[in-house]
Amino acid sequence: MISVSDLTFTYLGRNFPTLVRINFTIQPGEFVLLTGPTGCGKSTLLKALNGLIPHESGGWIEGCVKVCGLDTQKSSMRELTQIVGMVFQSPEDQLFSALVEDEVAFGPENLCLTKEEIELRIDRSLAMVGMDTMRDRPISTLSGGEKQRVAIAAVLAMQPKILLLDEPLSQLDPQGARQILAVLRSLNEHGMTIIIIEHRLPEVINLVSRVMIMNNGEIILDRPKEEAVQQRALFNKLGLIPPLSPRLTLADLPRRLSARDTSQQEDTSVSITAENLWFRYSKNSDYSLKGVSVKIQRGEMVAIVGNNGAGKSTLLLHLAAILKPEKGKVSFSGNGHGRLNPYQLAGKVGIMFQNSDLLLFSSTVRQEVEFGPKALSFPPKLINQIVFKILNALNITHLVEDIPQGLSKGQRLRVAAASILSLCPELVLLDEPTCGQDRIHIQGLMGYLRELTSTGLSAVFITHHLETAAEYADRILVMSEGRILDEIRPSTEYKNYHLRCSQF
Amino acid sequence: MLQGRDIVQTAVGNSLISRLDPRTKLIMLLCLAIMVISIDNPKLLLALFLIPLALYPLARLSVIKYKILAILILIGLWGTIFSQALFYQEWPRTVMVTLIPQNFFFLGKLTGGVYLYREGFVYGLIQGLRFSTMTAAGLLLCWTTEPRNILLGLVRMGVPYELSFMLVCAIRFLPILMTEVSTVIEVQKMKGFHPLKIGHLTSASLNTLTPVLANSIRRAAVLADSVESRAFRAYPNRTYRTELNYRIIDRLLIGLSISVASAIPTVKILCGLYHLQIVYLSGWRWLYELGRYL
Repeated sequence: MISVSDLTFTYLGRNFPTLVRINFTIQPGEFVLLTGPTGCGKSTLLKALNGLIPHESGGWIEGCVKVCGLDTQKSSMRELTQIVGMVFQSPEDQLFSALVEDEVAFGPENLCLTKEEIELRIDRSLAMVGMDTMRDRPISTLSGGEKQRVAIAAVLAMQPKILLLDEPLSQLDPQGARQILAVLRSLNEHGMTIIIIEHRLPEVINLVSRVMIMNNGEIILDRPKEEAVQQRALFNKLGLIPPLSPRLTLADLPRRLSARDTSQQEDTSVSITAENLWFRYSKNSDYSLKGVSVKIQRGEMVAIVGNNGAGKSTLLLHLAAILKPEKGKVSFSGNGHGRLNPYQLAGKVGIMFQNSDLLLFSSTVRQEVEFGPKALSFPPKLINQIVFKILNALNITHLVEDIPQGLSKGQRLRVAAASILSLCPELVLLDEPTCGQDRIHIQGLMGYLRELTSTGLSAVFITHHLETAAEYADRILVMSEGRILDEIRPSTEYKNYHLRCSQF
Repeated sequence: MLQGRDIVQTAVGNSLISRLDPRTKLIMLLCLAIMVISIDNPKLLLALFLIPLALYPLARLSVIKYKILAILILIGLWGTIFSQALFYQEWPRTVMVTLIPQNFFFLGKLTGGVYLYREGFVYGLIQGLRFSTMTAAGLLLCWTTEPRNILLGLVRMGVPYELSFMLVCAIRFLPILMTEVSTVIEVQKMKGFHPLKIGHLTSASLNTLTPVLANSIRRAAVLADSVESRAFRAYPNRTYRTELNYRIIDRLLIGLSISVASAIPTVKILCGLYHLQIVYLSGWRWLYELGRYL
C-alpha cells in the first residue's frame, strides 16, 4: 500500500535534512501510530506520503515514496488526492465553508464529479463519521469534535484508500477525542489504512496495530504494537507518555471535598474570590456562567476541567477582569474587580491564553521577557535578576537573542510563560497550557509553576489532561454547562504521575 | 457584547433581499461604487446613502446587525469629518470652530492655532458619506448572501475561481483575526502596557500586528495544505452543486443599476468637455444643467 525507500528531505533555507533515509512499507488495512518529540519530522513525513512534498512545498528530496504503486514525485496531486487523504490538527484552520455539506462537497467538486455523485458522496461520508443528521448545519455552531469529524468526512468524500491524520485529537476535549477515535476504529474495521500522528498515546494505543517512533528525522523504532509498548525506556527518554500509562477518569479521583464545603471555609489568605457569577455573551445566547462561585487561596494551584463549552475559559477571563459578570462579583485580594480593568491588574494577575503565540510580539526572547517588567517600571537591576532566573528555570537561556515567533511550539510556550512570570504576579491564569505539547514541555512548565506556589503564587489552569490536573493541582474544579459540578482534591498518590508513568 | 463573528456571520433567512441572485447584489454594489465616486453633491450622496439603508428592513436582520452597522458608520463618518475639518489645507477655508486660539499660551504659538474649517467639514462629509454608503451596501451583501453563493456569483461574473476563493476565505477568517487582535490588546494591558494611549499607538500597532500576522501565516499554510489535499485547482474547471438563476426582479434591478451608474459618469464627462470648451451642443444644455447638481 505504501512503500518508502531512502527518503531524505531538506526544506528550502535549512542546512540539515528534516527527514533522513526513511525506509518502511505499510500493508493495506494497517493502523499505524507515528509518534516522537515535537519537531522530529512526523508532519513532514505525512506530507511526503500524500504528495504535498514535493508538489506544494519547496526543498530537496531524495529517495522514493510509492502509494498504491504511484510514485508521489511523478504523479499529480489530482491522482494522489484520490488515494491519500490528510486531516490536520486544528479543525478551525482547515475548514473554510459556512455549511457542513459545502465543506464535504469541496473535494468532489474540484474533481469535476457529477452533481448526483457529489450528493451521494456527501451523504456517504457524513454517515461514516456519524454526522449525517447535521448536513445543513453551520460549521460555526459545531463543537470541536464535530468539526474534526467534518474535516474527516471532507477527506473521505475523496474516497481515499489511505487516511493520514496529524494530531487530530490535540485540540479536543475528552468527549470530542472519543468521538474521533470511534470513527477511526470503524473506518479501519472497514479496511481503511490509517496513519495517525499523536501525543496522546494511551488514548490511541488500543486502536493501532503498529507503532513507529521518530527522532531527529529518523525512524528509530518500527514494531507491532505489542512489542513497541514494552519500550518504556525509549518513550521516557523522548519525553513521550508511555502508551500503557494508566488513564485517569474523574471517577478514579476520590472526592475529598464538595464545592459547598470549600465555599464555607474561612481563610484569610484568599488570593481571588468569584461570587455567584452569571454571564452570557449576548442577550439571545444561553448563560456561559450560571452562578459560579470560587475561591483561590494564596499558593494554591487549581485545575479546571470539563468539556468544550462548559464555561472554563469564560470563568478565567472573569478572574482576569477581561470580562465583567452580568451578576455577581470578582474580588482580588479583597478589592472588587468591578472598577478594575486588566491594565490595573498588570503585575498582579497574569494570563496565558490558549494560543500562547499571541503573547509574543517582541524582536528577541530577552525583550519579550523584559517587556512587562519594563512597562511596570521595575528597577533595571531587578529586571536583570528576574529575567536571568526565569530564563534559567524554563531552560530557554540559550534562546535569548532568537525571535520568539520563529521558535518551535514548545519553546514558544515557555517564552510566553516567561513573559508572564517575569511580572512576578500573585495569580497566574493558564488556558490549556498542555494543548498540543509533549510531556517534557508540560512537565517543565507545570513543575516550575508548582515550585513558585511555595513562594505564594496562585495558579489556575484549564486542561483536558486529567493526569496533569491530578499531578499538579491542589484542587480540581469540574465544570459543565456553566456550573461547577464538583470539586476534587486529588490524593498525593497522583502527585508523581509522570514518575509512575515511566513504570508502565 | 459584540463578537467578531457577529460582523461577518450571514443571516440569510428568506427575505426579499436574500432571495436576489448574488450577481444582482454584486452588480448593484459595483454600480453604487461608481455612483458614489462620480457624485460630489452632499445632498445627492446623502440620498444615495439612504438607498442601502432603505433596503435593510426588507432583509429582516437581527438587532445586533443594526448595532454593528450603526457603530461602523458612526466611527467612519465621525473620523473622516473630524479629521478633514481639522487638517483641511486648501484655500479658501473658513474657520467654523476655534479649538486653540493663535494667542493661546505656548500651544497657540507652537501650532499657529488649531481650527475646524467649514470646507474641510463638507469635504469630510462627502468622503464619510461615500464610505458609509459602501459599508452599508457591502454589509447588506455579506449578511444576506451565503459565502458559497458569493463565490459562485463572482465566478459566474468571470472572476477567476482562485481569486473568488481567496476572497471568501478572507471573509471566513475575519472574525478569528478580530478575536486575535482583541486578545493581543488584552495581553499588552496585562503586561502593564496600555496600547490605546496616544503615545503608544505606533508600538502597540507593531505589538499587535506581529503575533496576528505570524498566526495568519501559520493558519494560511494549514489551509493551503488542506485544500491542496482535496484537489484544489486539479482541473481548469470544477463542478458547482448549486446553480444561479436570474428572476425578473434581478433583471430589472440590474438594468436600472447599470443605467443609472453609466448615466452619471457620462453626464459628468460631457460637462467636463463643455467646461474645457472641447464639445458644446446647445441641445444638451439641460444635461449641463443636470451635471452642475451631480
